[in-house]
Amino acid sequence: MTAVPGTIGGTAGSDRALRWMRRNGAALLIYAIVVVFVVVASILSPTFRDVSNLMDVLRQSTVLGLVTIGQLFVMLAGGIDMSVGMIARVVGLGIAVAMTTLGVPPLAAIPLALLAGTLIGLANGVVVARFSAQPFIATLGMMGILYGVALAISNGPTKMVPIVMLSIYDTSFGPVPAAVIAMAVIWALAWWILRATRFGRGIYAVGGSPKVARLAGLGGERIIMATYAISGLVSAAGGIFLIARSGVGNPNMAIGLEFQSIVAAAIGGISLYGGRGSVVGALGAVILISVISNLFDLFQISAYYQDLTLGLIVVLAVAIHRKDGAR
Amino acid sequence: MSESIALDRAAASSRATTLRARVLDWLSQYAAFGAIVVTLLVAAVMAPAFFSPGNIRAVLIQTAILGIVVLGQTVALIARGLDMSVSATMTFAAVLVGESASSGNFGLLAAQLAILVVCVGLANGLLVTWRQVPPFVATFALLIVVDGARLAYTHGQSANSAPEWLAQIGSGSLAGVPIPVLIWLALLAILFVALALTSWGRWLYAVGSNRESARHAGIPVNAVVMSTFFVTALAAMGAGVLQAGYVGYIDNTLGANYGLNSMAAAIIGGVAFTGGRGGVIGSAMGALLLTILVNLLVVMGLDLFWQRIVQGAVLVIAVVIQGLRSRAEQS
Amino acid sequence: MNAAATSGKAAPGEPAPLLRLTGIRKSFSGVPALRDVRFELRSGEVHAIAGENGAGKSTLIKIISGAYTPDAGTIEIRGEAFSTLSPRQARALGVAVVYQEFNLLPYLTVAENMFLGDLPGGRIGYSARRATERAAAILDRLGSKLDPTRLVSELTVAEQQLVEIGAALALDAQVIIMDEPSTVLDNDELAVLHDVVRRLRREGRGIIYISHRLDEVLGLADRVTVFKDGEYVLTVPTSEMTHDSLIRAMIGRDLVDFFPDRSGERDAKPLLAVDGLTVPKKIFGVSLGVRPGEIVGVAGLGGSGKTTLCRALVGLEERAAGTIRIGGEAAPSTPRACARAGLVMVPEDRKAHGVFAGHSLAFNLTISALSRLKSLLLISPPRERALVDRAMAEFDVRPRNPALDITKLSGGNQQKVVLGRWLSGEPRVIVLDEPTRGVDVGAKSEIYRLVERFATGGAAVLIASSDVTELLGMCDRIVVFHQGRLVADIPRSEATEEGIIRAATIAPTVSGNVRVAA
Repeated sequence: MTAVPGTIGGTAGSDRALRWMRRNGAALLIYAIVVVFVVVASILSPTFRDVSNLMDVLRQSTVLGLVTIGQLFVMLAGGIDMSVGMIARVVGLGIAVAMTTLGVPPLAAIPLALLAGTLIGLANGVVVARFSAQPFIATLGMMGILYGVALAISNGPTKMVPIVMLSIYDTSFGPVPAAVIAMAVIWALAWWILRATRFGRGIYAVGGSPKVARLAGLGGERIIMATYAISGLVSAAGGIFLIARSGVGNPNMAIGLEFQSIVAAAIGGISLYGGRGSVVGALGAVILISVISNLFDLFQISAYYQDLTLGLIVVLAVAIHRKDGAR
Repeated sequence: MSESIALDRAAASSRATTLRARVLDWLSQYAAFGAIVVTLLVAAVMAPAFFSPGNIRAVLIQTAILGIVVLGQTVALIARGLDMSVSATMTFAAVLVGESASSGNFGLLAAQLAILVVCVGLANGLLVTWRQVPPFVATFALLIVVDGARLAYTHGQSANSAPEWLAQIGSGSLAGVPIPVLIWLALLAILFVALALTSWGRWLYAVGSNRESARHAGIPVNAVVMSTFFVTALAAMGAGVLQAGYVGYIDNTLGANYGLNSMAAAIIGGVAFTGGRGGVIGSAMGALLLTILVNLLVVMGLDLFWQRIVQGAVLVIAVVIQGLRSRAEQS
Repeated sequence: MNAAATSGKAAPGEPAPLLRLTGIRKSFSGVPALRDVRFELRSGEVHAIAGENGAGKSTLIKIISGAYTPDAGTIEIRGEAFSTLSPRQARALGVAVVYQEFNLLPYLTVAENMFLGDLPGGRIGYSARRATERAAAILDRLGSKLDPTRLVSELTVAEQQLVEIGAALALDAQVIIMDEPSTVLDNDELAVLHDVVRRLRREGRGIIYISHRLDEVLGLADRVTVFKDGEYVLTVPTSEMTHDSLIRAMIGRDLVDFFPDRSGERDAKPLLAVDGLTVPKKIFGVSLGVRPGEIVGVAGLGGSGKTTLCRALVGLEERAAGTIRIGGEAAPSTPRACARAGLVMVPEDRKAHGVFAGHSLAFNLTISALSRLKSLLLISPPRERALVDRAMAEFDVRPRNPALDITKLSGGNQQKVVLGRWLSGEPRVIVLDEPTRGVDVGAKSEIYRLVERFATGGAAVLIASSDVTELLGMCDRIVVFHQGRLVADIPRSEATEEGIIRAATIAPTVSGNVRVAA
């Protein structure tokens, strides 16, 4: 490629289309796979293509969907959060106990739950950003602590959640469940924050290169702490849907959530090394995982093989995942 | 005049930072040992039952089994890796042993265990070296696959009892010392020597300290990294078999907490998560500390959930000490 | 914004310079890098800094940009005097640096990279449209039609450089420092860069331009300041300089007794024979031979292919074509196998590729020699101790404490440890990449003697260095790289500093206009 003096970087329209494809190819591929799965499954199973089942697929993806938003904020800033699943569980259990044993009204319980999640996330952020602790190990430790807390909370008799809570998950507007609408709104908000705020661009900058971000005068520590706090917040929101879905609190519910969230983010194109990736792709990956588990149930694949199949898919995905984000 | 004052001030501030760095360095190396002493003092005051011969024996055996996993984890961490899949490998190995109790076919068992170790080590190693997947992601993926494979293999029914010969090893003694402890100490000694006095040991430190320098220095970096995952898988397999023998039965949660605990033990024992630093003696101390802490909670009659909280907190504290140390060193 | 407004301190009739440094001193752990240096930059001027490697150019830039604090001296920016500057202060005062390795985020857009510290928008919102418009306006001033919405990862190196320059303009920097901007560009791209620099000059900014290419210095800059060994030599308008006078100003130190004696012709078959070696995009069709006892120098600018050649010899770069033979045998493709075959390479970047920080001197010294230390299966501590003691004495490593952390040693002693690691195995072919970079004068001389001793012992030695005087003092023969190709092979008797610098710095397309060295 030779440049004519004075015109470095001129652009033709067709280049632009090509570049759009290259940037968004990964995300498009995921949606293409989702479409293929849905089409094939619809042909094979009348139950699957039923609108209410399709809505259920989306509704079942809310918990993972919310947790994944937190994970992707943290990952974009170059970290990792192993505690997201446990935050959701602790918050879910906490709500159940607060409402049944302590008689806290739902309107107070939900804000408290979100606050608790944010504070736990902030603690992760302080440990990682202020104390330079390695994010994976630090948040794994936090996950251990929270598991203890979850066991402690659930130590008493089984906690049934009041009916009011269940309605959070069960309410629908027409065919569209309220949970799906909530998730769509939160995803849209995340997309906007990452794309159209200084803070969002700062996250990409810090994750891309802490050194460059520092040279540009961006507050790297504060941005990183904020991503963990956000992760705690949305994980807590996920916890609310989790308890609303199951109705009964249990410290082992939705096991594997933390890893699924990393996988969804990674399949969706979020670099494991930070600074790169799109929200849209990650959402596609969440839906894909939800479709696959729905198909497992629909085709009555034995639970014993579900973990193995999912695990093999994950291995395949990480093996294909290229390191080109790292320099 | 003013220049010399400025110089003095600079010298004083650099002395202060080196002191801080030295304190943190010292802490990260001997934190486990100090904490063991403190914990034992607490135990002496608050839970004298801790020192009953039966309890001491249990603590030692549990330390030995955790300690074997920690040996592997230490090797991985020194080379700047880690292995989350150890718990799955442990449980699967125990399940295979449980089955052999009914079949009694030793050759088959040996072959199965060997295949397990080779498959897990190879898969982790290839993902990390060939595909350059970060170790925590690769080994976490393997954790799910191996657990999934075990479920598919057993269809969830794994509550077997351990074979008689194994139960004798797991709870037997030789000259008054529990056999698992002897095995652990022997492996500890072997690995101690291997780390200090073999090329492989030196290479581990070199690879963990600076991968590029290691490549230039003619060290087969990928082979070294690959070897660490075989060591972790082998250690986990051994620990799983011993654990089955010690508790006498096999269930699905046999290895459950060993991933987190083995990392916590190694890191509180001074093995750096940034690679290239630490050793098996320190991490053995870490294993002992963690086991004593958990046991003490049991002896003191505290609820089970305290164990998890303490285990998680130990990991967070260890990683914070190391983070502060590396930060102090950089400035 | 305008220098004239703050010209109170200037002599009558002369506007205050944008930037003036006086009496700047800086040393690193006792080794002086700059001694009593001065420098001045006017607005609307392109001011080149010339000097050999180690002359102090990059130290000076780092002092101007606030990355280093000088030990003594004053920095005056637009009439305001400072004894120290923080990077933040320097930026606020309008100083921007376009570094060789760009400080860009590959997955953000051109516009976002240009305004990273201060994205346009409201209190929280970021307006991609406004950023794009402003970036396009700046790029337009630079004569570029680059689309600001493209990701930096999609750009060529030349385009990325333009983004860096655009970022400096986004800060409205008055002093723009370009650190060897031309090394990464081909000739067409270079023409564009020069056009951009001229535009910046027309806007009244001051540009500090660092380049090893002398034709570029003379053609583009208004004035040139020459440094040598950390000392100021002169500042003159380029119209008064020729290639020859510039080269003379850059060199000419007393070399007596600094280098060991080299004498005698040797005839033998080459011990190291390279034929047609090609590394994709880096070096092309390189052929050379090194006989036993011979020291061959490799000269060339940064990025010209010296380091790539060294790395390719031991298999650290992809060898796309060509052969490498060690005493007639094909060279293996890993550093480890090469070492067994008697070929070792001591890398250029000691910190990143050489030492194991946090480990002892002894660990660092023996890591590549472990197989020779074994008795039975294990490394024998007495043998290890013996090797370490011998090597520390032979390579004169100080302090002589094998347990000391390698990073506590001086640069020169670290280098001796790294040399000792490789050379204690008595290799037949020794490749050294920048063996004395960041090493104090005393250790340099010792390293030269060591290399000489190995050559006398019959080893074939290849030294890549950007220090031409070093090559002239050490080598029997010097080959010169220019943009990935060997362009000259000069025997010691005919080699002159001028001839080598000329071959390395003057692009073949321009060299027709210049007298070729005799």
